[in-house]
Amino acid sequence: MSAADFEADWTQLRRHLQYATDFWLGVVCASDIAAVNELRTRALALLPTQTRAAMVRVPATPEELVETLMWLDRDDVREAALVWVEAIYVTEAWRRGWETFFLRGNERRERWRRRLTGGLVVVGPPDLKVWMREAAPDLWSVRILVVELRVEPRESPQAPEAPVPEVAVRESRGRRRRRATRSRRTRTSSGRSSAGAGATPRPRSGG
Amino acid sequence: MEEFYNSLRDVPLEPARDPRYVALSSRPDLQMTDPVAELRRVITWNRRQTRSAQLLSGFRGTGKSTELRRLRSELRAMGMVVVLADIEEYLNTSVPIDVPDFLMFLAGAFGEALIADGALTAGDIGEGFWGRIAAFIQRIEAREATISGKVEPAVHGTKLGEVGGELKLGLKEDTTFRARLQKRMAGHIGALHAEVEKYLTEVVAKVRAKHKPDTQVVFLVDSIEHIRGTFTTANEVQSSIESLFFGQYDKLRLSGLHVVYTVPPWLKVRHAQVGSLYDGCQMLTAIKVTEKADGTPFAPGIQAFEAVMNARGDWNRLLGDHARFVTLVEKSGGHLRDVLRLFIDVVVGADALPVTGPNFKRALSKLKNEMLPIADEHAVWMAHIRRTQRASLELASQLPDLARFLDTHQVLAYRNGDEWYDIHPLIADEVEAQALDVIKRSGS
Repeated sequence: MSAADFEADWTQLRRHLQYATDFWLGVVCASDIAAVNELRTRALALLPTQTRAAMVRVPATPEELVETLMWLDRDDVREAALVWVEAIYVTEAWRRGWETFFLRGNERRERWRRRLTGGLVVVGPPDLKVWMREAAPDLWSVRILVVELRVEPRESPQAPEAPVPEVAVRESRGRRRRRATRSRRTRTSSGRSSAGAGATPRPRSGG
Repeated sequence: MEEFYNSLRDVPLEPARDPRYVALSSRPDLQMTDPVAELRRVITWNRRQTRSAQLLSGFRGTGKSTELRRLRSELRAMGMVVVLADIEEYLNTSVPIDVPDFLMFLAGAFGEALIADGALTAGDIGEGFWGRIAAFIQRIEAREATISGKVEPAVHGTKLGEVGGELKLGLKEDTTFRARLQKRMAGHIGALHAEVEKYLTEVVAKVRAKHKPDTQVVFLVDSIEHIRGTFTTANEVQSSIESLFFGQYDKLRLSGLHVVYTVPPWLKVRHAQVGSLYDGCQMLTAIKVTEKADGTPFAPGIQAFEAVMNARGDWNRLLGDHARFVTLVEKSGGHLRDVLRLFIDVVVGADALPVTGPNFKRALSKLKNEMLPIADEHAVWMAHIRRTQRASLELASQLPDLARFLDTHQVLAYRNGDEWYDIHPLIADEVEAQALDVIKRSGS
């Protein structure tokens, strides 16, 4: 993969982060943790002014990946500007873990579309898009970003350089204003409001 | 740019009040029947019969949920009481469906939708359906216990509210519970059907008492086409849908109600005559944007998408010329969700306005790459679909694969006059080349 390709992929991700005022779904397929680290670091750095969390989850086992489904129901995750779920391992157990994640995710997609207020980006190995397409066609059909970081494959992916089980960053004031406006519009049009919308969640560190 | 991006988001629209809505299928120049007009006609012409059942088959992302909302809005404007329920909120869609759980879902969801929409209050309905049907199940179990000894109860509570809640939750969350319930009710489908009919008759009478004595009541049931098994249960789950809609169709015509069920598009592939069992069967397909014979642009289809995009934003400023617009629409295969997706990709890839040539091409190749790779055997099959323009199945066991082709837009369906199928134009050349290669290899 050339540097220009990486920059073009980053530009796409960046613009989704900058433009979207509601839930969106992105898929990143990669075999090189360095490229993923770079993409994640840039994405988190884009939300610099500490008002609304971006949540990162890097499961250590396939079971933890499946448990992430429950984690996605948490209120602080709901309010996050970006939810990043990353597991780029390529063993059979991880493949089964992702399949379970997608099968259950397929059933939860309307719930995610209604509840989550920012981007959900799932990051996995190069075959992730095929697994998702086959196991969760409904979820797959609502994706609006697929990034394929094509790098020379390694025999086994390296572990992340620095563990980042969950971190919180916040979004810009401009984005917050837009979201608040949208929240007011939602209340006006539907006659309902979500308790806690726009509230600042507790920053999280550790698992 | 940000505003344009957000206007391109693919969400169900409320046609009556969303300026982004464009009624594509009612454009006469597209030579399509308007499925909403057809559904509405059957309901309005059947007023005296007061019960009808119709099917709406919608390809993913062709605007089915939006069109159901349009139907709701048009029928409400005619004074009817119309409610919409989503099966995914009541049943786990990855396990086989059977008549008992489907009937229970219908009755329970209908009452709740009437309350949610304000057509009735909880007080009007009185005893809720879930408690009532749970008590019915307990009566059956008590009778069986008298005849054949101990029976493991499906529901354990003692108060109506308690057992009703247990039943509703169990249907959605507990696959073991649901399987046990299906088994338990297998010999009592007639009695259960009668109980559901009795409940619906009472509720419809309450609606008419509250509104007008001749009020027509319409129930729109969405997302049935989302019922799909896992890798190991796909065939079993799809058989259960066939058996429900083909084998038990008489149970799906409900007392006092006009019902529209959304069903998976493959149901018609498997049973071409399924529509004859119902009062109507409509299909939402992709819009024809190229001529079937020679692949040249089909002007009315292109113009229809111009209307769609004009309602969303200044695409001309983004693309810079009309030829690019035509390319984008052609390459989408006339699939609404893919048109919107291609525009989003152009928007997020644009470094300047209008977008540069390389960035425009990149948007097209991105969506194409997302549909690849394709297994050799599937490439051969898809090439066959392209040649014959039919989505026929050699073996019933291939159904999950065909369903997936349709779900992921690798194969698209069209309806202008005839119904016909084709490979998505973004991958058509690739698939044909792969199929040819497979055939060459297998021949050598």
